Amino acid sequence: MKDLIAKAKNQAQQAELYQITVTETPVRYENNKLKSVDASSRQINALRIVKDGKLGFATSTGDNLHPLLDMAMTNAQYGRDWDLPLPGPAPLPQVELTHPSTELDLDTQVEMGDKLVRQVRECHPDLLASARVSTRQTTTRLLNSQGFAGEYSKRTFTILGSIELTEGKNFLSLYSGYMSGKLEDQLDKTIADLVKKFEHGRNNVPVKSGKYTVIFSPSGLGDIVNPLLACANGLAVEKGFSPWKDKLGEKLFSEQVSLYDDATIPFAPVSCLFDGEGIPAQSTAIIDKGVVNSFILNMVTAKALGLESTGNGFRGSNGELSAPDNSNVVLDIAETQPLEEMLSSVEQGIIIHSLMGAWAGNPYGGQVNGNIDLGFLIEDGRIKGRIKDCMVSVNVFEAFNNQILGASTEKEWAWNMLAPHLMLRDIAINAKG
Amino acid sequence: MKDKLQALVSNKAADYLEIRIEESAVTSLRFRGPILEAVNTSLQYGGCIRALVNGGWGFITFNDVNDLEKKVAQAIHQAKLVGAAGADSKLAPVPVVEDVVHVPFLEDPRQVSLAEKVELFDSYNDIILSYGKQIVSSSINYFDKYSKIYFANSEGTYILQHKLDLAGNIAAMASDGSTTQMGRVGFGSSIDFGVARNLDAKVREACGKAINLLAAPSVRGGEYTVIVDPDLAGIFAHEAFGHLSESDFVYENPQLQAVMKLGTKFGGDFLNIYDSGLTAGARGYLKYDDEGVATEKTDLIKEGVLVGRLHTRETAAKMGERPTGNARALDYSFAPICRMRTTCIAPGEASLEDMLAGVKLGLYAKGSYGGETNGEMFTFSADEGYMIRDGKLAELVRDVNLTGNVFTTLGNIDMVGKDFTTRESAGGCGKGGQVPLPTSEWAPHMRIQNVLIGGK
Repeated sequence: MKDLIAKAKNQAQQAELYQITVTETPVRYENNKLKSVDASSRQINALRIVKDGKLGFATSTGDNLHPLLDMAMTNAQYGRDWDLPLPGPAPLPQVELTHPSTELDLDTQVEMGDKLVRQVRECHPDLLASARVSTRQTTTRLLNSQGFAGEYSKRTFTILGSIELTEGKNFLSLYSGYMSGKLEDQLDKTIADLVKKFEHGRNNVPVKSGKYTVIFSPSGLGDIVNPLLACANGLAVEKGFSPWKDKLGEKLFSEQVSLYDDATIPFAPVSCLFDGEGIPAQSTAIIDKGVVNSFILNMVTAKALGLESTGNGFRGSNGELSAPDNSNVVLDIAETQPLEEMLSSVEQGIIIHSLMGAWAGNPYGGQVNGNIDLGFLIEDGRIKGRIKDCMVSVNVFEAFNNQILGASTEKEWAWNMLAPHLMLRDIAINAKG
Repeated sequence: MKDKLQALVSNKAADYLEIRIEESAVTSLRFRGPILEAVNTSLQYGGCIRALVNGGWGFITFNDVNDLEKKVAQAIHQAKLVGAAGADSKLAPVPVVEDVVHVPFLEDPRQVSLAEKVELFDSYNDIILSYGKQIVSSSINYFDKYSKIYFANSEGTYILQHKLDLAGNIAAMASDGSTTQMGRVGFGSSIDFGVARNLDAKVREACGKAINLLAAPSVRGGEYTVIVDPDLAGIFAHEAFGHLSESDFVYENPQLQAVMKLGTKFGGDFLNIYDSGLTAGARGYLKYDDEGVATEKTDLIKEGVLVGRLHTRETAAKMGERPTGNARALDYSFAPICRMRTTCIAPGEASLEDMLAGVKLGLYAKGSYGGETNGEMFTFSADEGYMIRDGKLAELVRDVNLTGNVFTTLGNIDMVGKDFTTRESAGGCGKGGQVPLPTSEWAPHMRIQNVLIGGK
């Protein structure tokens, strides 16, 4: 790596080499059986240079570093203008990334998958259970001509379980899972969650179109929070299509609402020591008590906006040039109550665990329309059964401003987001018939 | 390469072995607003080995193509572990093939200089950014990927496929301060850079569309008679039926097999759906799948009746049916799974006027933003919609998201248009973490009764 940077420095003013190696060993159960044991190892290399004020870039795989410099030099003829110094050496935060508990051998992974499949199958003789248990070891290295030389390794554990039950033309498909740098009780929690959802989903109940109190569980909240993250994204702000472009410091939402991006949470899925450009990992309040507080920025969007990078210049899975992206997302709602209490307070409402197709809309308009992939009707504080063939429609900007009825004290991880259950009032549901 | 790979897969410790080595070069461009933000060249080289032992699969993928014997041994070791746990995977027989496949180029993107590509997309960007003050930004993505894929299996099949996939998306963003709307032009091909040329008129049209959407109200939620344009009808074929035809969803599910029994009537006599690998030029075109099986045109629904489904060798063996060449992998880092190629609704006899006639209150939905299915229900988003009032197209509406139940919706299609349209986009299909896989969807206009639309 050092040789390449040294060589690049002879031909260009600045150079940076990003390298990531990933090894992963997933064990897959499909349709009640162990289906496959897999192993993958890959290495991605990405070279960024600045030649005569222009950016050049190229990537390769494996140990094929040799052609990168020529490719990047060619591309620099067309590259964007670049007048930023790449970051030099800086103290990196102490972030706990990997707990020894995630060091699992293959047999343990097989046993864990087996336990999940065995236990959820007890729910019904005809259901099909699938599971994926995996550990992933990643080493990230970044070296640049300004003297930054960083490296960190992390290992994450992933469990994903699913159930399919077909009865005539009625399908019940359920998913649950976690990703973490620390193995605790995620296996048991995944099993318990699947079993609970299965019990609630066994009976379908009719639902009428109308306005409802709707509770989004942490796994159902992703699509609802997405427009907020899209509007805060530095690229959308820089290019002028974020409606928040001139709203920094303005209170757009209820003061109950705070939203953070935090790459420093111990053992969280996307925690790191530095981003894909060598900026130290940090915590950023995107929304602070209802006020738009910060955008999510990498170096180049920060420069264009006259701000500082928030350490969110993350790379794509093939090492692509950094773009502003979220690390771990935390949603905080000020006033909370225990989940059980919140559920039992609902006279008539709906709880949504998963939406389908809601990502396909235009996030900058704040309008989220999605098919309710998994949702249950609540009556008099009790779950009555599953609702189907219906859509939910939320204007997220309005919802986070004046439709919040409550949030649960308990928070759960849904992949990279830590959030409570969120209860909203007067949410439109459209149903067949 | 041939001798080396064939020697590797001759290891007798496995019941079946295959190896795939892939060498790709990707060029990509990205404009955001006036700035050419990224020009990237990427060289990708890697491989994978899949072993079957006593019904269990072991799969290994790597960039480092040294020590392949050791990797074969590891895949076999993993497969044994699975086989010993009672797995029962097996493969349907297919002909042994030796072949070298070349790309039948119309225009090879590798012969077009980077300078010319930059200039071409810059010219589209100029059209957008000079269109008018409501256009606030642009977003242009382009890539071309040229791959050489070597495949050998322990049955004697050896194939070298040269493949091209290229696609792009040109988007204009309009804003009025409170909302941002988009108009887009997509293109794609497996043989021709020419599809990226001569798009000026379409780019202008996309700009106008984005601006018009700013003032359009959101559609009112409810049930409507919906006419979908060929773009959306194609996505419908893919989401609302295609995924259910993928046999890995069905082959170990006896309850679903009863529902998806061949011979079952799903739609009107005018409804014909098929999936084909033979569509030269389409992004979904491929001569052989990633198990070395020759592709074909597979009829799925003929005159409203279920007549076929999409198979890998494993799903075909288990269901006692014929492999159809639908085992596809995103790249060397994935094992092949059951996927679509080019999914089509065959033309019917109706004109758009026929479809509009008699619709008192309905919606004409145009352009696809993407869709999703969970097997039973599907959803997709349109770029824009027009209300239909008393048989005539009326006002423009936005935020059009359609949903339905796969089984009832197929039966609710009451007209299929005669204007069959081939269409390629920059999007791709996602399944099992393998995204975006190039697929194509071709269809005519179509009318569907009782479609649920989200909204207030």
